[in-house]
Amino acid sequence: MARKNRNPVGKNVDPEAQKKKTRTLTLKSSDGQEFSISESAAVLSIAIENMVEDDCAGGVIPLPLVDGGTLARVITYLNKHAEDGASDEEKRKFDEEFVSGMEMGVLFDVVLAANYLDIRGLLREVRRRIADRMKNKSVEWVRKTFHIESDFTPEEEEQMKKEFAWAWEGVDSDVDD
Amino acid sequence: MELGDLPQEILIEIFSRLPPKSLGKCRCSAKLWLNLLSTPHFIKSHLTRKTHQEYLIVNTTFDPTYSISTIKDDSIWKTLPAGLGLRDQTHVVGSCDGLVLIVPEYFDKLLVNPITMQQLKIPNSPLALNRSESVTMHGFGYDSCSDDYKVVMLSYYDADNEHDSTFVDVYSVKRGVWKRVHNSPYDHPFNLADEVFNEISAPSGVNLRNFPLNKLVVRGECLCMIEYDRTDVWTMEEYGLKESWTKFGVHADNEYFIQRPLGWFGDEELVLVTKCVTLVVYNRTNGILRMVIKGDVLQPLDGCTFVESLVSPALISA
Repeated sequence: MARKNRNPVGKNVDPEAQKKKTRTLTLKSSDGQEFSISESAAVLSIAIENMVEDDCAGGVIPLPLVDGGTLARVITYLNKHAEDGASDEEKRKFDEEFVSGMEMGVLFDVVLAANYLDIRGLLREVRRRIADRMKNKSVEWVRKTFHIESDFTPEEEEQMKKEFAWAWEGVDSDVDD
Repeated sequence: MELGDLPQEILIEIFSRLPPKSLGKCRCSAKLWLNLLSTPHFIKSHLTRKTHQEYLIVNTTFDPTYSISTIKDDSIWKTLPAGLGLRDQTHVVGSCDGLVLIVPEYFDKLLVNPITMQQLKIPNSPLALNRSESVTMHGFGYDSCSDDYKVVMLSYYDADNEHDSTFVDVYSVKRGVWKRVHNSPYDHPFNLADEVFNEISAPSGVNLRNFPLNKLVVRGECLCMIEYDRTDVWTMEEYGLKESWTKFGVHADNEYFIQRPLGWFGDEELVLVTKCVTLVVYNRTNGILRMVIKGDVLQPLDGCTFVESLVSPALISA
């Protein structure tokens, strides 16, 4: 998708960018909660940016696939990343802390919202975090954490353990937490 | 919200970041995941992520038999079972996408994924020259045009000093057939798609007398050449462009006389065999040389680096 250059090179302050900082949008979650957000933060979501550009917003942007709790988290992320003068290092640290406290279920909600709203950085960060937590975990951990019922028969299960014996070989040990 | 509720493209992105061993365990948790994580699409997506750890695989003369071991984090991770038919001296030819080509002196060649231990026997070419009278060299790689892995075999008769009858045979893993191609191979890299040799230029200033003894390896996407009996490492930064050869030297103490390279870990670390037949890794950025395995338990004959992947040689040929 082609993006417009919003920060033209040069010292002149772009009046359009200034306006975006002061203009606020209202985002409405699936459960009817409304959130105010500056346009400059909101358009870090490419999906919202498109809605604004197409002018189909009409003041309030409805987001029927994102619940209030998740939207509040996403807005926290967007505000930080739109903050004036926040260095890359600060943002990276923020991202780290932002996702570290989240439970798996919350991470899934956020990854789905980031996907729907097309927020690339957040999507990448959350996907990475989910994968990190799954690394070197036992089958039992995976089933318990993701509420999966095994649909293998005991015979199939035996067969699987044989076929995938390599997954338990070597010096790595399972981490169960 | 549960993991299974996420759209498939997000699931594939998440799982693509996991090491193969984690994925083996995930496959065992439910049929849905077994299916999702076994598709060629997923295996390819996992492969292209390029964040997975690289291993070293070496064959050794470690007493009393020949064996092949994989090495991870500077220690022996796994020794391949003897059941692979590795009863005689073998050569570890090279790797591509996590598949390693192993060529025993007298038995069938073997394509193996050392992580999953999936393997495929490659029959000898019906056109192969008589072993006792000929010299044979092998190469292995991926041809993206036909989405196929190919083994290239070069052979010539011992007595033939002129090298004017060198035979080039190519094996398609997908189709399971050998084919003889007619092309002159000397000092030319082989184009797997067109099955012809292309000429590339050597860097200026290398000793051409020792040229055939120089060893070629691949670093990332670049061709790399290490001069025989020297410590100069040449990299062709832009493939096919003579001017793009750049050089750096391995600064080794006398105790680590460098004999030959085995391959690269990523962009930075070059794995080398010393004249005392030990393994060392040279870090190009900080210039530090470290021993891979302490003590002399391993005497590597040859080997290569490979990336952990789920690519199955048996599935390609099926």
